[in-house]
Order: sequence, then C-alpha cells, then structure tokens
Amino acid sequence: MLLQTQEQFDSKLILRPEFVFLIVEDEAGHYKLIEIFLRKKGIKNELHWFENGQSVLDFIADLKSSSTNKKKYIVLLDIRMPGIDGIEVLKKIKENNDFKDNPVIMLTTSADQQQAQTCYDLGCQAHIIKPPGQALLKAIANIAMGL
Amino acid sequence: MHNKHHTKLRTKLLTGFGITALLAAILGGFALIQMNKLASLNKDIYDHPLAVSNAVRDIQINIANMHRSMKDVVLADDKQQLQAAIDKVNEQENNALASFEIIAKQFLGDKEDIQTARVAFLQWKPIRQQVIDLVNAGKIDQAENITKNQGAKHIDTLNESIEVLSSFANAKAKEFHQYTQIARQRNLLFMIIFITVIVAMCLACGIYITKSITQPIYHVIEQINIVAKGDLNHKINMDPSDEIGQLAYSFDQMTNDLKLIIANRDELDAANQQLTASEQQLKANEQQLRAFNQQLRASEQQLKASNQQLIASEQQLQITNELLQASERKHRGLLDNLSVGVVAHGPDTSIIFNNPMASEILGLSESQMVGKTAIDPAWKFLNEDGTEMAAENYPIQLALNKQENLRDYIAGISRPDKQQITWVTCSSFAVYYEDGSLEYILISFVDITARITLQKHNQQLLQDLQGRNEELKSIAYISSHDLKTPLINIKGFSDLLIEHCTDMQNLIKNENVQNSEIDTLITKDIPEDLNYICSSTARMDKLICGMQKVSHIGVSEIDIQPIEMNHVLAGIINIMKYQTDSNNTEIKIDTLPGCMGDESQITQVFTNLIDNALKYKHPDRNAIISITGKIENKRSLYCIEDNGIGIHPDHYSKIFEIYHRLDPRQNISGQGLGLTIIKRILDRNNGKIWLESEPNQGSKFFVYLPMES
Repeated sequence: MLLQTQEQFDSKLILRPEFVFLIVEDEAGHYKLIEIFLRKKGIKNELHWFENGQSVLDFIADLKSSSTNKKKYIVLLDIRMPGIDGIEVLKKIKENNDFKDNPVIMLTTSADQQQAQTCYDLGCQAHIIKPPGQALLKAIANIAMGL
Repeated sequence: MHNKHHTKLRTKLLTGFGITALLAAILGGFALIQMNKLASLNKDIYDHPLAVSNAVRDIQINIANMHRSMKDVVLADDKQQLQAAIDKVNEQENNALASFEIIAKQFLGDKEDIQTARVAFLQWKPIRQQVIDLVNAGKIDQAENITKNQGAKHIDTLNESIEVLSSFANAKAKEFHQYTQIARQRNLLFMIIFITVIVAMCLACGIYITKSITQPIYHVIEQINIVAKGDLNHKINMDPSDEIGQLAYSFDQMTNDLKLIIANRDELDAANQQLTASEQQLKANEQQLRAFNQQLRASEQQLKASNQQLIASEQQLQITNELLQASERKHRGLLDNLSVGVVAHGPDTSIIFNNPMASEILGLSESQMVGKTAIDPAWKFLNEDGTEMAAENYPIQLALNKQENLRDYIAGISRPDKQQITWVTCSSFAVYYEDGSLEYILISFVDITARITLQKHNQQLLQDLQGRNEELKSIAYISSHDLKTPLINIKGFSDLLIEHCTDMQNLIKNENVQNSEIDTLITKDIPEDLNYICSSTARMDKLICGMQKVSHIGVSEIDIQPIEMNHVLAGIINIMKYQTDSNNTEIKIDTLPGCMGDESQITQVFTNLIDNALKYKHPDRNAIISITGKIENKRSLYCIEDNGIGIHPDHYSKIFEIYHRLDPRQNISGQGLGLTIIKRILDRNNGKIWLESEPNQGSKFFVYLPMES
C-alpha cells in the first residue's frame, strides 16, 4: 500500500460512480481477495457480495420494478458454486431483457477452453482465471471505456 | 304418387268407379233429405194456416147461414116451416162447432183467442133460444126485433172474434210461404255447388286413373319398340307388382329367351364350322403322320450307328475313371491331414462328407453328420456376442441364401460334451454343375478359440482401463477446480501476509507512527490472513482425504458374495439408532430380496442413502423412510423412499458429481461425497442407481444389484 511499483501505479483505475459491482462468489476468501484487489486498484465504487447464484438472481429480479435506476452494473461471476452454478446464472441474466445489457465477467479457478467458449457463446464479457490480477483490471477498463 | 304406380289396374278402376258411385249416392241422399224438408214445410202450410182459415171460413158461412135461418124462423108461416128452420139452425150451429174443433186442434197462435171466439159463439145460443121461444109464443114482432138488433149485433161480435183467428192464420201462412221460398233458394244454390264439386272430383279421379293406366302402357310400348328394333339386350325393368309391370317382366323374359335361342343358334353355327375345319385338319394331320413315320425309320437307322459310337466311348470312360480315382485318393489324403475342418453340404443342406478335422472342431463324428440336415438340439452355433444363433444365420444357410461365398464368418460352437465354447471362422465355396445349378457347398472351419479368448480378455481390460481413465479424469477435474479454490486463498492471503509484514516493518522503523496502525495490523489484518491460510489448508486436506476414499473404491479388492439384505439393513439401523431416535424418525423395512455384492461396500451404500434421507429431512415434519425391494428383470431392485425436501429434476445428474452439494443456504454437514461414493461402489458391483423426486414432497432412490444366484 505504501510501496507501489511503477506498473501498479499506472494500472490505477477510476470509474464513474454510477458503476456498481455485483460480486457472486461462494468462497468468502475469494471475495475478500477480489475486494482488496479492486480497492487497491483505486476503484471506490459500490460492491455487492452475493454468496450464491440464487441470491444475485433475486436481486436482479427486484431491480426490474424500479425504472428510475440509472446505475450500471458489472457482474463478477464465479463459475463453480453449489446450487445454481455460474454458467446457469449467466444464462438467466442473458434471458432477462431488462438486465441482459449489463456486462458479466466470469471468474474461474482453472483454464478450461471448452468452458470459456461456452461462456463467451452465452454472452459474457470476459472469462478470467483467479486470482484477480491484471486481466480482471483490463476487462473492467474495457467495460468502462465502452469497448 | 310413386306408390300408386304399383297398385294393380283392377284396384285402380274399382277405386275410381267406387269413388264416383259413392259421390252419386251422397248426392242422391242429400237431394232426398232436401225434398223431404220441402214436403214437410208444405204439409205445415196445409196443416195449419190453410186448415184454420178454411175452418174460419166455414164458421163464418155457418154463422151467416144461421143468421139467415133465424130470419126464416121468425118468418115461418106454420109449425112445420118453423121446425124445419130450427133444425137448419141446429145443424149449422153444430157445423160451426165442428169447425171450432178443427181450429182448436190446428191453431198455432194464442189458444185464448179460440176460447174468446167460442164463448162468443156460445153466447149466441140463449139469444137464439129466446127468439124461438118468442116465435113459439106467437110474439113474432118481439122475436124479429131481437133478431134484428141483439142477434145481428152478436153476430158482428162473433165475426170480429173469428176474424182474429183468420188473420193470424193468414199471417202464419205468409210466414210459411216465406220459409219455403228461402229454403228453396238455399237448396238450389247448395245443390249447384255440390253437383259442381262432385263432377269436378269425378273428372279428376277419372283423369288420374286414366293417366296412371296409360302412362306405364306407353312406357312399355316405347321399351318394346326398342326391343323390336333388334336390341335384345334391352330390358324394360319395371316393378312387376302390377299387371303392366308383370307384362313388362314377361316381355323381358321373352326377350331373354329369344336372346338365348339366337345365341344357341349362333353357337351351333360356329360349332358346325369348327367341325368342318377339324375334319380338314385331321386329314392334314394324317398326311403329316405318314411323313413322320418315314422320318422315324430314317432316325432308327441313325440311332443304330450312334450306339456303336457309344460303346467305343464307354471304353474310353473307363480309362478316365481309373485316372480320376487315383486323383481322388491323392486329394483325400490331403483333406484328411488338413488342419482346417471341411464339410460339404448338398443343395438340401444335408452333409455329403467331412474331413476328420471338421469332426474334431465341431465335436460330431462322421456318422453323426453325413446325410443329416438336423443334429442334436443341444448342439448349437452362437453369435459373436455369445447369444444363440438363429437357424437362418447358420453358415450353410447364409451361404445358400446369400448366393455368395462366406469369408471369415465368426461363429461359436456350443457342444453338449464340452463346457468351453469353440470359436471358428467359416468360409464357404459353392460348386456348380455346368448348367448353373448348385452341386455342393464346401464350408471350411478354422479354430480360433485361443484368439477369441484373448480378444475377450483384452476387451475386458480395455473396459476396465476406460473406467480408470474416467476416474482419473474426474480426479484431474477435481484437483483443477476444487483444490484450486483453497490454493487461491493460500496464495492470495500469503501475499497479503507478506505485504502486511512489510507494512509492519516499515511502521516499526518509522518513529512517528501511531500505535493504532500497528495495532490494526497485529490484531486484525495479519490474523485474518493467517486464518484464511489455515482454514484453506484444512480444506485441502479434507478434499484430498475424500479423493483418496473415492479412489480407494476403484482399487480395493472386492469380494462378491450373496448378501442377505434384511440382515444388512438391521445392522445399519442398529448403528444409526441414536440418530433416528433423537429425530423421531420412522423407518419401515419390507421383506427384501437378496443380491450379489461386496457386503461392506453395499452396507456403505445403504448407510449413505439413509444418512442422506435424515440429513435432507423436511424441517416441518418427522422423517419417514421406507425401504422396499423386489426382483425385476432378473435383478434385485431396492427403493429407498423419504418424505424430505426433495430434489429438482435439473439436479438429478449433478448430485452424483464429486463434492457437489445442492443448496448452499442449507447448513448441512458433509463434503458432497456420499452419492459419489455410492455411484462408484455400485459401478464396481455391477449395480445402478437413479432417482425420482418431487421438491418439497420427498425423494425415491432406486438401486439395482445382481440377483442372488
């Protein structure tokens, strides 16, 4: 926090405040690591933690009713979770006409080419291997720039 | 209308005339009634007014006469004349009284009027008596006076009262006359209408009947004309229920007979012509026969020459035969010593010959084979997969039906005298006569039992290997996914720990630092990092132990024995007694069939299933677990049914994955290994597991195991 390399300094990212992160992660340690990473990268935006797929889907379903909502959501979605897994959550998000335009970044523990392809076919923005690092930051930056 | 065409002519005519007669009778009857009515009216006229007025007139005449006779009484010269005049008056008086009787009888008006007139008439009598008495006394003047005054006066009164009767009778007569007049006119009008209607009805009836008779007749004439023009095939075809129909039918029959006669005549003509032709042919044949005869004689001579040639050929053949026999001996020796079994079948599949190797491979002696089409039913061919071969797939049948040679057709042979199956490859070769018909089929058998046994063994090995491979793959998947989760924590929090330690070092070096910052690092940040690292390593340890457990199932020795299922379950229930009692769980166990398996592994299967049923019990009700079993398709089928929270169909396959747990919100102990272990155990014990479930109602887990042998 005090000693920052040049690279770390360069990769600081400041997002407009209307961006809100929805982090779906069953593993508390992983959520903690993501949170520390984002904060360290200068992102001060609102973070919502969901411990499983169903709770984020419930949250999204409740959003639908409030049309005055001007927030933009970025979903960080773990794949292997008990109950509804990340791929299913992604499917349901993309079936939701009110929410499907919000970007989704998939987070996974291992490089599985087939799984990545499935996620991209379903319309995710990025498929990133944990732990959170430069790839995640780049994906968020792309989303912020509207790429 | 249509039906009336079918009534007979006689009926029609009778009906027509009957209706006419009936109408005439009605008319006559009506006329009679009307005439009667007129007559009675006439009689009324006569009976009443005429009779009354006549009587009145008589009375008036009599009264006038009486009055005049009274004068005669007064003017009588002597006693004789007087008596004559009195007699006359009496007589006239009686006449008038008689007329009164008539009136009384016939008068239709008020009877009071008659009485008045009668009283008036009777009052006249004393007056008359007085006059007669006076005359008798000789007082003529006085009598004359009474007659002229009192008498004349009374007669006027009398006349008046009688006139009433007369005028009433006249009025009545007029009335009757009017009646008669009206009745006449009415009857006249009615008769005219009635006659017109009856005439019209008669006419209509007549026209209809005429038409219904003439129309079918015209039709028949038309049809007959067609036949008359020569078309004998034409039929009138009318309903023969009336006379014309019968006529038509008879005509049709006649036409038919005529046709037959003509046809017969034509046939006769044709037969006649044929006869003539045959006769001519016969003559020609006779001539040909003669020619053949001559040819035959020539052939006979040729035959004799040929015979001589044949005898020469026969001698040559004998020489060839001897050569052939030598050749066969050579071939026979070759066949007898061949390591390939050879069988020759005739076109009817019967065996013509076989070599010794064939007997050895097939396990049938030459005497069991040669000349036979069917053999011992305990002896059979098998398909490559070990099932019994259908008769139409036997090598000889295939070779016969396919009409092409078999190449390396693999078949097993099950012999009654040998436990082990002999495997052979068959090839066939068909030999034909010169004209293309089949002479025999040669089938050769090569014993490949050793090769097939090896192949089967290899296949089994390959299958096992594939199973292990799958196992390895799943372990690789788990290590890459589930083991990585704690690993990421360890790495991430280790990095943070290093960072936090560096921060601390820097803080300690810095003299201006506040104690609170160091405090946060020591009491919060660093312990948190260490806590995550420790819990993650513990998780990894658990996961690796679980994996060992699962993979152990795949490699441990198993001892497949008959298992008494009720015994096994009684043991499980006994061990879980504390758990079930504290939960008020009800466990029902049927009489279960036995099965084949490794007892300790199968015990684990049922322990895990019951344990799951207890773990995933519905929070609102006591758990009820029932275990039933039966034999199905030569396997033992068990069903473990609970009334727990149930499983959504989407998750049926996932729940058997390693480390998979369904509902993250439910705080249920366990690692997600139970069903994975069950599935692996059943895979090894040739069993199977599947489920049916309804969320919130309960689940049914079905387990198949091999039946107890």
